[in-house]
Amino acid sequence: MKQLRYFAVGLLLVLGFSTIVLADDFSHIREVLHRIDEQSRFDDTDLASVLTVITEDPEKGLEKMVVRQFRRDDGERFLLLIQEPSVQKGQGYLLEGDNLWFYDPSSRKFAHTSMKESFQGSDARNADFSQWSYSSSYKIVDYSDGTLGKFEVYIIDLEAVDDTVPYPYVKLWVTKGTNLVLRAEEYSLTKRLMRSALFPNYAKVGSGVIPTQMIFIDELVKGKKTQITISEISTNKLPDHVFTKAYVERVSR
Amino acid sequence: MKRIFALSLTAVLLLSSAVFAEDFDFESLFGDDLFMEIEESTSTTAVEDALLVNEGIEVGGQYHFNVNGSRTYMESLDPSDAFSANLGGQIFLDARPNPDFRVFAKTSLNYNTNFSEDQQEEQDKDQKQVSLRLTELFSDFHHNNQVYFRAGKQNVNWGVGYFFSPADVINVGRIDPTDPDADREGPVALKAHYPIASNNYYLYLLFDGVEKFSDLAVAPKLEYVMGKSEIGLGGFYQTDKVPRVMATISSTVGSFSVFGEGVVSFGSDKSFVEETVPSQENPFGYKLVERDDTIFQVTVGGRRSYTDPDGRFNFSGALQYFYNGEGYTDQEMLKDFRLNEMALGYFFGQKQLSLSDFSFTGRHYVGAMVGWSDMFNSKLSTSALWLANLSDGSGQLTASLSLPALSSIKPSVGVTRSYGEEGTEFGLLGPTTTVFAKVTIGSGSF
Repeated sequence: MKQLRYFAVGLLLVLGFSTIVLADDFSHIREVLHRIDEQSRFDDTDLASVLTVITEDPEKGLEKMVVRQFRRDDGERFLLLIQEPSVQKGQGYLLEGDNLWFYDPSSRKFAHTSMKESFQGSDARNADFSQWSYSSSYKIVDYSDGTLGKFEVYIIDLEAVDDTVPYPYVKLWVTKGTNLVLRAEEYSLTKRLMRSALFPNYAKVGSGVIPTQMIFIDELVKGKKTQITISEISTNKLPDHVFTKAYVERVSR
Repeated sequence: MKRIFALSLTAVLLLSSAVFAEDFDFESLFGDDLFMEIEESTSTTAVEDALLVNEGIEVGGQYHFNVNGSRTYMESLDPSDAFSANLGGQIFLDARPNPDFRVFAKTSLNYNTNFSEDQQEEQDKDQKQVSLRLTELFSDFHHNNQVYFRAGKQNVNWGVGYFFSPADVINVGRIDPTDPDADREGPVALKAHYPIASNNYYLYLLFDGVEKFSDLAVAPKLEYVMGKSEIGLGGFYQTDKVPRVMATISSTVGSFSVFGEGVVSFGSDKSFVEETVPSQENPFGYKLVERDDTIFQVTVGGRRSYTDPDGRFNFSGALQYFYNGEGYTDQEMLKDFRLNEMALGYFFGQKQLSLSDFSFTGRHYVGAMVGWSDMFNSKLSTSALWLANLSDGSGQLTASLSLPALSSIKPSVGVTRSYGEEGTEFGLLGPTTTVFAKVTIGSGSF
């Protein structure tokens, strides 16, 4: 009986120690997620850029869209203005904190919309243009070491802890040392692979980095993918009036 | 920009053999340095200002040509056929000589071809066939990028309802519940817009029908952002019209966009029919009365789009309820009045009643719409629209099916069923069923 008690206590100690070891194993991965968040935020500067969105759909063929983006992370603001095609020119998305409005120039109305909606029918979602945090919106489930192309990476499995993110499960391929997300797989609640994302190019902007090429692959519709190329990046201070409904109305047709 | 597109296009074409992520060649995609140099902008104009300037005048618009045929069935009557062609479009001009000034004009042009057997005088026919309408003509300017002005004929963003918007007393045109996305005619107005952070303050001066200074209408509005919602508070005042105050709310709840409006008016601008004892003054047993009591109107609704991961179920939907305090409480009296041709002829002939007096005569309305586009990844799309006056039990249900397009020829078919007793709002002459077909030919925007 006494031996059994010693065995039970020993087992509990081993399990407890293992838990502590496992928790410690995730701590440096948690630090990696923090660094990804830090270097993708631009709290001290504004960002302006041009996004060229090319969607390849097996049914509809190639579609091109040019979008002017203004972004201010301090205050959670962004403005997306569609420049091409001419049919959609003047449509815009204005984010102010928790509120995202879509502006339709033909009705001259602003309508509330959701970050989880698809962006103009492409494989990108409105949330892809805003800031959200890997470190606070996800918990680490597991990780392993691996390589992607010529880069050594951490392969990290994440599970969402809030509903601010578009997908509940994510697998990330993150470069060791530079903490760049090269690849992401996004899964549904039933762990079905929904979308893959590839980030083969980055640009250094101040103390942060920004992906200059993003490829989103619809894993459910064969051959459907969207590529977003970012150009004309500027970190010049933008006037406050850019992030207002008044500016959206003036700039739209 | 062309270079970026060419590079992007090349990349897409190079990768086009990859259908899923696993098909990509990761060795080549992630084989080089990840960082690329940023192109420094050489422009001396600020980006945000460059978007506010056009070289010359931008011209654009929309063109449509469609052919419509229908057959209407009514109880105890032979079916009646209609066939028509409709040709028209919109043209806009947008001039932006500098970031501080802009002039915008939009016109609508319609040419209606009437194929009915009714013969009309040639001159009269021409007048009805061509219509040119100025939709918008305004200028934009500002004071120190703090207060923004829009002066002229303009569509006004006032009210948040989809099928019904009782708060919108500003726009000249009202929402057509059977086509809620259609453009509405706006007023001639001066708008002053003062945004502060996420909040917005507006003041409108309205000039339509103004013959003297005291005829000017004034409409202030405030928009406050609170959490995930936007609250609007506004008012309307004009000397010869009843004053109104209104509140709106728009928000998101999960994946739903929700909205609501509440309006309090101190009286009504409408004339109302009331039963009375027949007399020399009121020969048909009806008289017109005004209302000067406090009237409430409330509407709530929501919209949602849903696309399943496989793209088979692309749904969009909207649902809205409208409590209309301006509606009649006695619907039986109203039905009798609508069926009394002599009384109708008298009051409308004398212009004592107008069509606007007879719009939204019920107290309770519902509007609902469901659309399913690219059904099961096919080229078929369908939609259904239901509008109902719950007070008199009448309504209208329309279902349509868009068929696969042949080049730019887009056919659609559908059926509309109006129900309700005779004399009701939607079933005025009794239940009717109309089947229709429409072909849109070579239409599009430019």
